[in-house]
Parts: sequence; C-alpha cells; structure tokens
Amino acid sequence: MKEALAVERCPSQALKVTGERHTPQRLVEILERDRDFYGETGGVTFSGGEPTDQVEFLEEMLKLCREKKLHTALDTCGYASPAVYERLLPLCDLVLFDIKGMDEEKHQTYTGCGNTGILQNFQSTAVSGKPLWVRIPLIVGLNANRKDLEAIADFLKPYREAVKQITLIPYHSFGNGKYKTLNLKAEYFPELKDETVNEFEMYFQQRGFTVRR
Amino acid sequence: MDSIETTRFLKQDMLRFLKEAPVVIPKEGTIAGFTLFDPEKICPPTLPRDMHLYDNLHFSMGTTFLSYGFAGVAERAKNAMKENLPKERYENLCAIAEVYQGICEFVKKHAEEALRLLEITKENEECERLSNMHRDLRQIALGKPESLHQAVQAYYFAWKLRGILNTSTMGRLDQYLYPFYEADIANGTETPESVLELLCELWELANQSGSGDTLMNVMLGGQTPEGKDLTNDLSLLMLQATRIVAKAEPHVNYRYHKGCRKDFLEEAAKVQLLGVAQATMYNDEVLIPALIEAGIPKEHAYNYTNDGCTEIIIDQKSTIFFDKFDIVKCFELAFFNGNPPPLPGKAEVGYWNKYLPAGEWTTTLETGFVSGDMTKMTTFEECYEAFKVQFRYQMMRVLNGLIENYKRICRENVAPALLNGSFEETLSTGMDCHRDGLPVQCLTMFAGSIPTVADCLYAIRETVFEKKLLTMEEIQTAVAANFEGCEVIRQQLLHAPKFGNDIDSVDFLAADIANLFCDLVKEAGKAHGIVIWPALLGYLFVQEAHFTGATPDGRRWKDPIAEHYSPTPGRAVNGPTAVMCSCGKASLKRAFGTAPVQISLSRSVLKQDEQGLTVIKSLTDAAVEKEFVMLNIGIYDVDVMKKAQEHPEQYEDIIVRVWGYSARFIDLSSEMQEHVMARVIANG
Repeated sequence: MKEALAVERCPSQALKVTGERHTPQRLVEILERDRDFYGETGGVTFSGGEPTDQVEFLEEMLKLCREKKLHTALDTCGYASPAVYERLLPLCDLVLFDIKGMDEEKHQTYTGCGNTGILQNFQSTAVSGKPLWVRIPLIVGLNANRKDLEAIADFLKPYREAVKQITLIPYHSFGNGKYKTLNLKAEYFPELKDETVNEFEMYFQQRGFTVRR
Repeated sequence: MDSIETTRFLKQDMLRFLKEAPVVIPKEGTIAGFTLFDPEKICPPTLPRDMHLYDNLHFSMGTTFLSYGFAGVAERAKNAMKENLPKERYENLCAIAEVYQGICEFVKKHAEEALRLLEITKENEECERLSNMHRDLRQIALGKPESLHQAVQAYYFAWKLRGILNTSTMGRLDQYLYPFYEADIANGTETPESVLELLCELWELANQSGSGDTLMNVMLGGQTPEGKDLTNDLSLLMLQATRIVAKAEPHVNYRYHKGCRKDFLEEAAKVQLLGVAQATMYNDEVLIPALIEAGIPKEHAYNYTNDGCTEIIIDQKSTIFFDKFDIVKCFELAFFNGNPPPLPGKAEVGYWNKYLPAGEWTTTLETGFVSGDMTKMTTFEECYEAFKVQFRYQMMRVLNGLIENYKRICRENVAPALLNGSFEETLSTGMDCHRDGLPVQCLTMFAGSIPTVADCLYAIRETVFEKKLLTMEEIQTAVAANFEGCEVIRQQLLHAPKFGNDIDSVDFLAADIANLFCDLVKEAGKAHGIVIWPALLGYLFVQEAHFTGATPDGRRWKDPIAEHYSPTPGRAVNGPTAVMCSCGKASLKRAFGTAPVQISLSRSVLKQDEQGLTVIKSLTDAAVEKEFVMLNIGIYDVDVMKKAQEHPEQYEDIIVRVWGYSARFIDLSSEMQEHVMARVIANG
C-alpha cells in the first residue's frame, strides 16, 4: 500500500508502475484503436517473455481477435506442452518460432532446457498448415557457426513449404545495461560482423529458404 | 497613389528591370536565366523591390504564356484594350501588353547571347547545346513554346521574373507541363531519361534560387471531377528528380486519392523514406468534399493545390490572404483573467533562420479583456467556459481585422502586370487578380497551437479538480514565477496527460477547441457574407513561445509550443501511431484551409529498407482512413543534429521540416533547431 501511494504521489513519475492489468475485452478494444495502421499485412503479435505461459488469457485474446477479424501472430520459443499448441494453433494466423540449435547438450547449457520438446512442437506446428516464420538468434558458442546452422537447415528442410521465411537475429549487447540495473551478472558474448551474418543468410538462401531481416 | 498610378509605377519598374537584368546562359545545362544576383551591382535603383508589396508570392501564377507565348499574351492584352473599358482595366491591359513585350525582349537577349557564344565555340558538343538553346530561346521570344524544353524555359523565365530575388509557389507543375511532355515522348524528341535530366536541372536551379522558407511548392497529381486520375509519368519523374537531387527545394507535395497510380504512391513513399520531410500528402478524399460543402464550385474544388506553405488554394484561380491567431497567448490571457504577469525577460528571437537578426515579437491579442477569475471557479467546466469567452472575444477581433484588411487590399492593391497577364481571366478582362479578377477568394484564418492549449486545460482539470493535488492559486503563482522554486508543481503539471498519446480525455478536448475555432470562423464569415477558410495551422510557434510566459501544462517560458495540429514537442511519448490516433479524433476535414499533421520519426526505428517503406505506406494509409487533410513525415537522427549544431560545415545535407517547408538544419536559428529536435517522437 505504501509503495502504491508513493508511486501515485511521485510528482515526476520517477517511481512508476510499468505494465497495466487488462481484461481480454479491454485489451482488444485498445488493439482495435490501431486498426487503421494494420493494413493488409499487419496485425497483432503476441510475444513476451513467452506468451504461452499465459495460455488461458492468450486463448481468449486469440478468440476475440478472430471475432474482430484482426490478424494474429504467435511469437514463441516453443517451450510449452504440446497440448498448449494444440489449443492455440487453430486460433492464430501466423507463428513466429525460435530455433536456437539442434544440439541438445548445448541447448541445455545456454538456455537451461533441452530442445527435444521444442523441436517436436515445431514439427507439429509445421504440419498444422499455419504459415511459419523461423527466427534463429545467432550466438557465438551456441550456434553461430556453419556446422550448427547446417544442422538447423537440415532439420527445416522437410518443412520448407511451411517455413515462409527465416530471420537471423545476431546477438547484441543492448541488454547488458539491464543486468547491471538488476544487480545480475551478465554473460558477455562476442558480437558478429555484418559479413558473417550476410554469409549465413546466403547459406540459408542457397538451401532454398527465403531470408528476411 | 491610386490604383492606376500604382499599375503604371509597377509597369515602369518592371520594364526598367527587364532592360537591366542579368542575361545568363549557363556553362552547363539547358535552362537559361538568372538564379540570384547582387542587386547593388547589377541595376540599382531599378530593381522593382516594391513589387512584392503587391504580391505575397504565396499563390500559383497562371500559365497563359505556355498557351500563347509571351508575345501572344502581349497581343491578347492589346486586343482586349477596348475604348469603353473602365480606366483601371484598360491600364491593366496596357501594362500587361507592355510588360510581356518587355519579357519578349528580355528572352531575345538570351537568344542573342546563346548565338554569340555559339559563334565563338569550337567544341562540337558545346555547339549542339548552344544551338539548341538558341533555337528554344528564339522560339519563346517570338512565339509559343512548342516542346517540353521550351515550356520549361518559358516557365522558368516567368517564375523568376515574378519573384526576381524572391521565389514563389510553382503550383501544379506536372499538369502545366504534361501536354508538352506527352507530345515530345510521342514524337521521339524526348525520353523519360532525358526528361528526368531536365527536371533535375530545374530542381537544382530551384535550390540555387534559395533554401528554406522559399514558398517553392510543387503539387503533383490530382483528379478530374469525373474521377480520372491526373497523376502522370511526369508526376512520377518529378518524384524521382526529388530523390536524385535530394535537397530542400522544391518542396514536393502530392494529392492522394483512391484511384492514384500505384507506382506513383510507391515512389512517393520512397521519397518520404529519405527522411527530408517530403513528399507531403494532401488527401483528395477529404479536401474535395469539404471544399464543395464550403461552397467552392466543384470544378474548382477538384483543382485545389497548396500555396507557398501548406494552406489550400485553388490553382490559378485564387490568390490568398491570411492571418494568424496566438491561441496559447489567448489561453494565458484567460488563465490570468485578461492580465497576465510580465515575462521573466526580454522576448527576443529570430525568425526561422540564423541569418535574420533576432527581434522582439509581440502578440496581436488585446490585454485587459476580463473573461472570469479562474481562482474563484469551482469546476473545470467553468474554467473551460472562461477560456471560451476569451477565445471568442479575441478571435472575433482578429477575424474582423482580417476581413477589414482584405477589403482594404481589394480596394487598394494592384497586382503586377506579369501576374495579371498570366491568368486567363484577368488577361481577357483586364481585372486585377486581387480584386475579383479570379473566381475564388481564399481568406484563411490560422488557429495556432491548439494541442498546447488542450494540454494546459487538461493539466488544470486533472491536478485541480480531479486529483485535487493543486489549487488554481498555486498554479498561477508557479506559472508567474516561471516555475522557479516550484519544480514539484511543474512536474505534477507536466505529467498530466498530454495530446499526442492517444488519451481520449485530452485528445477530445483538443478536438473540441478545434471545432470551436471552425465554428467561430464560419460565424464571422457568415456575418460578412464571405467564406473564411479555417486552418489548424500555427507558424510563429517559436516566437509565440517567447512572448507567452510559462503555462500550466508544465511548460516554462520559451519552451516549445505545438506547431499546427501536432503534439507539443517532447510530449508525445507513445510513438507515431498514438500521435496519429490523437490527431484523428478531431474533425480535421472542417479545416479545409488546411490541417497539417507533421510527424517526426527517429531514424533509429525507420531504416531505409523494405520494412521502412512498409511503415511509411502504413502511416499514409492510416492517415487516409482517419480522414487527415494532410500528412508530412520527417525522419531524423537527433544525435546527428546535435553534431550538426557543433560542426555545421560537416552537415550541410541534413534537411528538416519547418512549419510548411523543408530547410537545411544548419540554416535554422538555434531556437528552431531545438524545436525540431524536441519534436522527434519518442517510442512508446
């Protein structure tokens, strides 16, 4: 209560609550305000964090967006139970799926969890008929090398029709300031040169995928 | 002097100038004629400096000389000089005949100079260039233009002779020149590539003639009353020339309508993505019905263009007169019941650029009108009503002044003969374009910075009446002290909701004030039997910020106020879509005089790539859906601008939007630079 009062009274809003609580209905009203900007190719992307962590709310939102004819995209890391995707996939129009690597051990080391479940979820998404955009964060040590990317390309090959585009996302250190602010120990990774990223993009293009930035 | 004497005076002035003016054949290129020259060196005292007392250069000139040639205009004027005409009209026609004959002689001198240079040149390529120039100049000295080159040359001469050392709007240039373009492409004289080269040369000459508040607007595209798209290949090439030349001039605008060519809209988006605050979109879907509803005949409504700034006029069928309203000052007067405290210091500030000396600016509003003591009011509605009382009083004064001034101009002003000769109507009748010679009158009233006023009113509403954080006396005391020693109060006021963040409460307040403004303008016009064009525009916002003290939105003295119907700089923190949503809540179409929405985006979020193009198109589509009258998009890197302030010589190519034109950032006054930087929208 004291904290709430402090935030309320702070004249320069130096103390501020970030984030707002909304019901699905209220949130859809807010989303509709920007409808004029969506055009034919835009819509609502549910991202995070990991949006599937709030599956009840997300399911309700996707249903309401469908009613309002708002195009929806689900941006997920793939780490949820298959049942979650079974519920959500029929309700969304596009899936943005992160693939970090094929090596289970490396995946565990760098993300704290294995990739078996994620890859299975990817496969079921790929055969669901929903268009897929694959996002591959490029991190030196994890996957920013030809061998690991080849493995990803090999995995994606049977699903080339479903995979409408691949986006390579080079690691950046913009978040390091936040670690410091939160008194957390940051791990530092080298940044990739543009030429290296271009090379990787060309590789996926040669494998028959559309690559977009 | 009476009007006949003035007509003769201006005529003699122009004829003297035509005899003395520099004759310029460029060393490269194909368009002859001067750009700038030192008047003291060339022809003192024959430079017709007084000419521009009678021509504000804001409206597009006619193009009779393209149809008939300069000699043909002179001939027509002579033929129209009937004995039974009223004296004034007879004198006008006489002046037109003589001045246009003088222009023929002036052009002939250029032809002779081209021939002289041809005779002494030995190089084949140069011979061909000079030979072509001689041929074209001779043709337009004696007859009418017969090719695109000749039409461009004739237009350039007329446009330069109108302004001389000033410049003016270029109007619907693609429409004027298109018949010549079409013919030359059909007969193989030109190709799109050669025309693009010509246009780039013309655009470079425009830049050599000035930069910034030059009034050099070009409006592209449009449609016929039957809905036929008038966007043509020349319109597209003009956009391409803008992209290639990539300088401030001319200021390119285009008319959007649902039947617009897609390749043209694509090219317009590419120009916008450059970030130099061009091309500005004007929305046929809103403006044409609004003009018709205001009583403008249909054929004229479809022929709208913008003037030298951003106001709407009818191309070649109207002049324009306007006046501004200091609405933030008006709010200050209401807030202090007619008697605001003195300013904390001297209000000296430059115009828009750093080359003109700073001066003191004052308001045209009247101090002392009592609209109610806000410290005694117990509801926000009472306070708002007090503002409305002050607003009405001050607006009616200014509107009546505008009308009186307009009537005086109609009685006393005469237009120079070059201008009168350029319009079909005045060439055939001898009437003056300022005095009923043209079919449409544009008398336009500017609203000023409505969003800042909404911010002020809403801050009072929230802090005094809703959250009860402050009393009116506390705010008045803090404001009078320019918030010195009152930072807590200022922060509380500053953090009340502001226009431009898609917050209904403050946005609809601004919309209500805009509506009220349009109502007052309509009422005043009706009382005088004249249509006054309401414009949600403010252009002396830097000056007004200096002659208005601190305000209850948390603004200190000299801090920026809003320009046009756009957020107060620095207050829009939820991104460009929120800004547009806020603007779209007003009935912008009521402001058929213009309702500029200018958004300044950060280059860090809008790169020059496919995604950036998609964003630009999406913003434009949304502006159309939201029934905007106009949308201007600028894309800036504030870090680069800060570097440019320290090392201007290294950043000559940064171009930004000012109030109705693009200008080089380094040319701006320091106050205007700060305003432009503060305007860049933070991302939500």
